[in-house]
Amino acid sequence: MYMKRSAGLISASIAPAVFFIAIHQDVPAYLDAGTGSIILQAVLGALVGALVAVKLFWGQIKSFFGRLFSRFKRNEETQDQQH
Amino acid sequence: MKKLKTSSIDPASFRDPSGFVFRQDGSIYRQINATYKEDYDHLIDCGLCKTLVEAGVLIRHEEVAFESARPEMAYKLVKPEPVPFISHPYEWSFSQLKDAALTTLHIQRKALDFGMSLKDCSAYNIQFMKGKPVFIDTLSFEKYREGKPWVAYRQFCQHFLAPLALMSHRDVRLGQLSRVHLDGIPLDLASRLLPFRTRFTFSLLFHIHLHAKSQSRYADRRIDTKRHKVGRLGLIGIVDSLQSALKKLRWHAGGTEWGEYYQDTNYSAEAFEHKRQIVAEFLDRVRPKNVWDIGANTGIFSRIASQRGIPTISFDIDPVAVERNYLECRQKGEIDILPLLLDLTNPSPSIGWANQERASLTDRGPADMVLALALVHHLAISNNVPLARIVEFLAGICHRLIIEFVPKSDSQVQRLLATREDIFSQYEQAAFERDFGQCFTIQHSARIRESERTLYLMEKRHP
Repeated sequence: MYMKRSAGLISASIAPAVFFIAIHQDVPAYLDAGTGSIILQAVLGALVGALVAVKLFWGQIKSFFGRLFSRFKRNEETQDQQH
Repeated sequence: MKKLKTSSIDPASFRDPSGFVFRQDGSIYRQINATYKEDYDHLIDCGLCKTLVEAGVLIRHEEVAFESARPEMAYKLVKPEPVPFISHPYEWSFSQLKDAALTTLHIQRKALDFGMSLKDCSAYNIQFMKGKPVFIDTLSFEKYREGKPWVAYRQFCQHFLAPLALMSHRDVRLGQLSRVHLDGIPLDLASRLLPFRTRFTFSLLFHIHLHAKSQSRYADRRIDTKRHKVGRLGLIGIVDSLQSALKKLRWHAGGTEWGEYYQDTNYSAEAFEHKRQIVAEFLDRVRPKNVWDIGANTGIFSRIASQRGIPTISFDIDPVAVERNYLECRQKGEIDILPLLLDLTNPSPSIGWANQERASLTDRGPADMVLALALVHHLAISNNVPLARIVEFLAGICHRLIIEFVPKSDSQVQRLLATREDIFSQYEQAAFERDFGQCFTIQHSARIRESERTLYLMEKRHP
């Protein structure tokens, strides 16, 4: 169950990365995007894209850590009882 | 199929090979070229066009079954909803430009949801219709290709973010730089003019300062775009970041000479009310199709026309007055009044390629009626324009005129003359009537009670 959840979270986290490495197709554009603007977008996009991903998957991230901590807590309690 | 006669192509419609705008029999049409077929079909089929039109942010259009004047290039012809008055971004107040920017970003955000992206973010693609900013270029959408950077990002920063940041952080008059820089304010210039403290704001640091540095560092260098991809989430993040940057930009329309005009006037309450009554009576006699109120201040007299359902442009030179006027329109949801910034002593000229891309004030006229209230003394005395020249200008921009004559004995004129020599021997009522009589027929005149001022209703003489 735990493994299943982690796999879900990992796939959710790498989803944005998949977008970054997706196949690129060139289409004719009449505006010059500008080399400097493209490079800035790539840097800024990676930064703010990660934030968007965190926002998007925030619920899942929160519940993952919530479960993780409650699991540790349960384990500690069990160990205390055994001692 | 009806065949179009020789049409006239809009002089501003030549950059985008996706199509062009032309005028035929008094209506505006847009040809969609075969090269844009795939994107246009996607815009319609994916539901983005319908969603944006229903939200009131994209101009409504209908496909028409004409045979194109250039059939070898044509895919379709569409007839967009007419825009009653084309205004230019440097004629907008701070909040008008900000609302136009936020509308553009809202459209880009929606487009990304529908698998499309804006390929053109010129501020000239926005027009104010029924009080709200509307995107008027149906051909500005392209299918989103995964990993492809936003081609119009630089243009958005130059057309919207840079002028708004300068107006907010430095001086509201810097919005006029857009009149010189037709493709938006260069980011290196914006970066130099902005205060140093703006480098500590994440969004301005990236979108303007580092953007400008990146442009200068990579100027004229070709790069392998495949190595610099921007994912869809990255693009959403950039749009969100621009949105939050814009929302943080504020400008307080404080007091200026004109913004406080009505608190600092020599009118009694009765004179003011009588003036309103006369203007209303003149408007009801003529019932003009549209009105330009030149020197409108915050639009008190413009609203006498707009509240009668007459489309009214409310021009003023003062950014504070125009801003207050627009905020009032927005707050009350007024649809028949458009406040715009205009210096009558130097009205918007024809600019752009071959001086034809963006029309001058006079090219966008004539108006059916002009209101020129408490204005002539400013033009004649503060700006030294002879009465005959004022007549000539007004005759070129309207068919009918409501105009107020303010004599030299009026305390407002005395104030203008307080610091200068009176060289205006010709400025008196008889000369005013004689000079205006050259081009106009004076139909009615009425003295404003408790004042020395007179209002005239005039009609332009036919040559």
